[in-house]
Amino acid sequence: MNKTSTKSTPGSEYLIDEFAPALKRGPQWLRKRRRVLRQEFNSTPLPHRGLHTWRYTNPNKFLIKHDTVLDTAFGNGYNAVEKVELTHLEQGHLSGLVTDHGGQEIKFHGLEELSEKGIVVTTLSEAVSRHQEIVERYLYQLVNGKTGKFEAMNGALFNDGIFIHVPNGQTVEKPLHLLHEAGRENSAHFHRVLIVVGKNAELTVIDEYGGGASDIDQGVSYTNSAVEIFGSEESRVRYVLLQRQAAAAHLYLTHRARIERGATMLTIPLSFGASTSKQNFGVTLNGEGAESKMYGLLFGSGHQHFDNHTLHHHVAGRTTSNIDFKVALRDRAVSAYTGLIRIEKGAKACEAYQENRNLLLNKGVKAETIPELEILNEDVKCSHGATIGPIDPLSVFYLTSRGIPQNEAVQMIVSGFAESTLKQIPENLKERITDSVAQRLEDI
Amino acid sequence: MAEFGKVASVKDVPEGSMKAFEIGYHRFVLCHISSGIFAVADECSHDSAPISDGELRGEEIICPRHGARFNVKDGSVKAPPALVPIDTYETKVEGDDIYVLLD
Repeated sequence: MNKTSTKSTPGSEYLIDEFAPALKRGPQWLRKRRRVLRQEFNSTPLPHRGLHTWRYTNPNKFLIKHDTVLDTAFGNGYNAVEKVELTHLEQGHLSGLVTDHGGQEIKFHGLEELSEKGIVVTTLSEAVSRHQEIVERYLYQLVNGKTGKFEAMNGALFNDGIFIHVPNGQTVEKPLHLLHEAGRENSAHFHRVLIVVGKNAELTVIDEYGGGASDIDQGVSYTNSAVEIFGSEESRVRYVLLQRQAAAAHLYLTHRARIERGATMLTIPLSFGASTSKQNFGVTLNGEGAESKMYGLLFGSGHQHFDNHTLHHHVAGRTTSNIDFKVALRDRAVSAYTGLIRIEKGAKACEAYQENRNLLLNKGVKAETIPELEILNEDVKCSHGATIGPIDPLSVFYLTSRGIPQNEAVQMIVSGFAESTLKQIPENLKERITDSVAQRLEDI
Repeated sequence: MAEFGKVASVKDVPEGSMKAFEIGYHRFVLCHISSGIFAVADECSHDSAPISDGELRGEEIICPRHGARFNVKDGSVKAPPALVPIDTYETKVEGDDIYVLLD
């Protein structure tokens, strides 16, 4: 039995060394910020398990040893997905494709049309010098040391990342696909995505996370990602996250968006992969008339552990938000969901809705749900709700009584459960997502 | 396939103490009591707290968060607010080595 034991050391911490190579990357202003974030990481205690956002996940899983940071051995199976998406690009389903091998090698495909329109899609390492004014203004604004310890870790150590800027009035009609590959066993990958969308501009981004360690007996891979999105007045942004990392991958991801007056934001988190993932999605509605919708879908199997948070923060009045987060679990999978709607005192006439449904497909799975409201004024319309339960046996009985085999009946019911999210997904992803759901329903 | 794996030496877990381990997907706590060494899942069935942060008292392990108690020999609930037993793992001691059956 080739298994390595790891002793639990609650409260133990790694410190980022002052000579860590990542701290020397970028121009002087960036190096200075990296050093500040390093200090914030080192001085912030490890989150206590009593905190409601850390009740269900051990924070030690997201600490790494420094000597593993620069591992660049990448997992298998990545080329296959890259080929599929290159074909989609050739067929005209995508406006561009970016392939990111652990921040070490980032390639751009088919972006000529976008650059003619003045739309910038480049690496963060290049953007910090070529688009310094924008990057310096926006980088670290939404995800920084105040967000949390692991966000500070990312800010100090990120290898590289992707910068997208859509100027005022420009439209990216088809999705722009970002494909990130994590390293293999005992590797760590830190990267960021910074998206700035101008006034009355439009963008759809697919942010896909694949690769990572596949055999937990050989060790785990670690990805720490930060996504910052700024939607200017009247902009329209759609952000799709597809998480399909391998079976021994650990992922920590923080997404934050801020949208201004009249802007709309659609966020679609799709989670299928990784051994342990902690994902945090948040949108701040910062101008009157702003609207944010989130449609999440998570399907866990095996021993997967998911911990998701959502935040809708209404800072301005007459803003609207809606969350529909769906979870299906089988085998021994575990999911925890915490969703907060916060409405500030001055934000009158807001509407906010939140729903989290959990479908338990067998005994032994576990789902936790904590929907929360923090409403600081009386002039609002809000509701939230959560359900956890197995498939209704009467529904299965109805279908089987019409000659449909039991396993097909269950598959039909789960597909129906996921349908309202699946119909929001861009065309090029539909087939792969439907296949992912179908794979998890095999042998059920 | 389930098989026994060596996880610790007896001297690592003196009688009356407990120690948490994480192997593969399994997180469990070894508890050394007068009648032997037992392994239970390191997660309270009530609120998912790591029970290894709690206290071992006789044959019972006490969750640090809300005080639920479980018998370490069979995982059964001995005090609320937990209602569901915790998972147990088969153990064996050969010489100075402690083995745990994991899938």
